[in-house]
Amino acid sequence: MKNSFVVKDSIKTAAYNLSTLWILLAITVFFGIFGNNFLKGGNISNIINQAGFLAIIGVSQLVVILTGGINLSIGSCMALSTVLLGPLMLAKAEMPFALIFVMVVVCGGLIGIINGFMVTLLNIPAFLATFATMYVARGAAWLYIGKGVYYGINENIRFFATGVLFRIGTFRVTMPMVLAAVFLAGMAFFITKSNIGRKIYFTGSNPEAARFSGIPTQRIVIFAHILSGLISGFAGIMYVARINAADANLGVTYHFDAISVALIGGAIMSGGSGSIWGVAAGAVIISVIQSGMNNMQVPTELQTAFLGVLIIVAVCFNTFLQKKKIQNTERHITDLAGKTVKGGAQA
Amino acid sequence: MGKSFEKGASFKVANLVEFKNITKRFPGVVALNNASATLREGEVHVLVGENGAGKSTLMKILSGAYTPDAGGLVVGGRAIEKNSPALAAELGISMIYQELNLIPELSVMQNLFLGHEKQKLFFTDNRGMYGEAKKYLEMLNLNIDPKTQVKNIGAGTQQMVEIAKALSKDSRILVLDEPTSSLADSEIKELFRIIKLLRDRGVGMFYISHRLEELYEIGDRVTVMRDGSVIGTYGINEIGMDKMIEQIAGRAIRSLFPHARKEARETVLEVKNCHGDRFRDVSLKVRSGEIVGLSGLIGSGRTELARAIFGIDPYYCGEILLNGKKVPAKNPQKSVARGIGLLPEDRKVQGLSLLKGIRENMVVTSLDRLGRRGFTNMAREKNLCAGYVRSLSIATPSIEKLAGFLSGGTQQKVVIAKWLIADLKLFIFDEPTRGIDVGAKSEIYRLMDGLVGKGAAILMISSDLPEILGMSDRIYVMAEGRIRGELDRGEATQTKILQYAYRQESTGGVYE
Ligand SMILES: Nc1ncnc2c1ncn2[C@@H]1O[C@H](COP(=O)(O)OP(=O)(O)OP(=O)(O)O)[C@@H](O)[C@H]1O
Ligand SMILES: [Mg+2]
Repeated sequence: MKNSFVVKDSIKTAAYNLSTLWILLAITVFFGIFGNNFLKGGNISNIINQAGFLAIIGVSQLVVILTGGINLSIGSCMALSTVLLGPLMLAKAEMPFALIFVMVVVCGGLIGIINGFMVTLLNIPAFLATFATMYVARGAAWLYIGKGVYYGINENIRFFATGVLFRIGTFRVTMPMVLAAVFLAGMAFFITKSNIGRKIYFTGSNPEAARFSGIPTQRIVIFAHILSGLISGFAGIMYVARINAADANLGVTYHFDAISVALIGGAIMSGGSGSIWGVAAGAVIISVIQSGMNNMQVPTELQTAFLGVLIIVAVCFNTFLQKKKIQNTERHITDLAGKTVKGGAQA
Repeated sequence: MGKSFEKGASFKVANLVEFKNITKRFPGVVALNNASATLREGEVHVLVGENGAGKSTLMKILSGAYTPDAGGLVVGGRAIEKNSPALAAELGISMIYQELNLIPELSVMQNLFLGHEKQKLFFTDNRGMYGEAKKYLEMLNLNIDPKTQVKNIGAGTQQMVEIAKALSKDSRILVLDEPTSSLADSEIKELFRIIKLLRDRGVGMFYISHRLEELYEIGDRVTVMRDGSVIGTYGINEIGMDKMIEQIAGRAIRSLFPHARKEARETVLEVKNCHGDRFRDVSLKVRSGEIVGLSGLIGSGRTELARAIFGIDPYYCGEILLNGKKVPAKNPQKSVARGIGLLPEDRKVQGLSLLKGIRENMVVTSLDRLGRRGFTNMAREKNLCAGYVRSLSIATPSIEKLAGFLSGGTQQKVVIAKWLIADLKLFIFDEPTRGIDVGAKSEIYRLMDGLVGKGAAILMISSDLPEILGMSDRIYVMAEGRIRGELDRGEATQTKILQYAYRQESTGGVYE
């Protein structure tokens, strides 16, 4: 008798955990039916290509969201770190690829350190701190580059963002797909299996209990911001390589995309829960929606609005499922600790 | 509102409450299994049983927080089809939960009338509420201004305010879920006076507690529960303490307080003339191989001292040494690395992450030590946690169950386990057995004895005098932020401790 409960419970939990996949499935079927050649190999590989990039910035956002924070400076960070090193990335600079890669990523990390220090030592809420960084970094990029762009990026770098490895029918397996897959797998392993990753989750879920357990919560938060910055730097390279130019205006709204990806992927803004695979699924969802709408030739203005609506629907759906999942816990908590006023006098 | 509170008013039946064969399941557990019990008018009906036995769950069915899967509930002769918190309140049922339930930011008065504010025309009647609040507080001998913010009064007083709140609602049925677990002795006396007062007015009360001594003073009948079932209901005089313990734990417990230690050895912790926010000029020593009790009234500064030693709060002068070396101030993480652990006062906020599972909570103090090169060693972790779940008899179907789903005492056991896993030299336990059943208590005492036997040092804060006397090798008594006395195991008695605890500053005798 006991076991049947456990089984039922774990099936339910699994269904909830896969909630993002249900959404994905529904949307894909929709565009598959109403779209035009939507499910062709070539189109699918475009979708996945774009999703890989979205997933990377989504993870950059996720690591901060897990601590209960937010990072609004992702796009600016991508712009500043690539623009600063723009001259070295050009084909004519003839720099070794690995060196440039490391330098850009480190540059992103430095911006992360600044965010981290503001949030912990100066006690500024992450929203405000990264909001400020968003402007400062963008401004710095503009100042540095003036009006122009750095055009003509090193071929080695370009290969990483555009290279096609092989084809299966019309489906192209590209370098960015492979990079994103390796990155996601590595991050998923790191964040769930490393001590630091687990401390990030624990700190986000209850900072007070984390401190009382001897977790250096401030350092953990700083680390998360640095990690976010490093990943932003990486995303910056991918982006620059694809458009073949380093530009101070790149990715002005990427922090929003990153938040959407993370939220659709099931992350919770208050911290402590969310997964890399959720983010990956979230990225594919957005990518499918964008591509599907192009396919159905929805005008761009309408697309933007529609995307917004779909994001809200997806997030609500997710929140609903999440709520169902933790409803009992919540009830238990409010019953016992009773910090909520909901039930009124009789709570 | 407006129900009469007079004796023998409209409402007169033998049984105020009848639980009829209640069954309630949660994923993986049967929290209540065919449980039946009754509550009479003007009686204190005690519920006892091990952690996770289903006591709180039964009470939540009465208060409408949970719906039973099977069985019936009769309140005041009326069969309740579909209970809800609102209906329960209407029926005159009030709950005082295991954990404090007041809103810290609001005043005592606002808390008292929360959800049933008095109105005059369209305005809240502040003057009327103030007067009435004052009346209830006076009835309870509470000398506080109703406008005081709840966060500024102690835990004991808060508990009294909870009771005042029940009074203000004219409750005829009152549930007290472990009301004394955070109260000092004098406050318990006060609480009992009020319970008796209510009983004489015909109020029926369910009273849950793990402090068995007090049951004989306050109870009329007692019901023992185990694994969700009712084992039996007895008149309080029909069942002796030993029999009750045996029924609860399922085995006889001969000596609750083991004492198999040898000589205390070198000094592990030394606090020298420390001053902090709520304590002054404290000096004390804890040696390897001994349990040092820290007694005193609630609010005497014990918890604050413990927090400063562990590094949560700052201290201003003096020093704190571990094995002769200074402990970095305000750095819990270094403290843990050096081998100090603190079992905190508030398990739900400071002790656990309620949305994480048992395993995650247990290993969080020791991730670096348990892992392999910075990464999780899952097999080792699972084994270790399963071992503690077994040895502390933690009531759970799996080590992954979310901490928020566990019963109060079970949560406390998880917090204890998390410090047992961390390899410590000095354990600071703040009320370690708060809300823990007798069986597990004796298990924890045995563990503590074993820990010091192996050379650890324990500083134990406790408001439970038998526990302090039974477990400590030495006892410090704090009052008003200062250490007022030190007693050896041989010379310590309840009276002496209380004398120190109540000693006023003017009577001198500051301990050096
Ligand atoms: N909301 C819930 N979800 C899942 N399981 C629950 C929930 N509430 C209670 N339980 C389980 O039901 C059982 C009974 O819990 P309950 O809180 O009634 O115990 P208790 O007798 O009050 O114990 P304690 O003395 O420790 O307070 C426990 O095994 C607990 O884990
Ligand atoms: Mg309970």
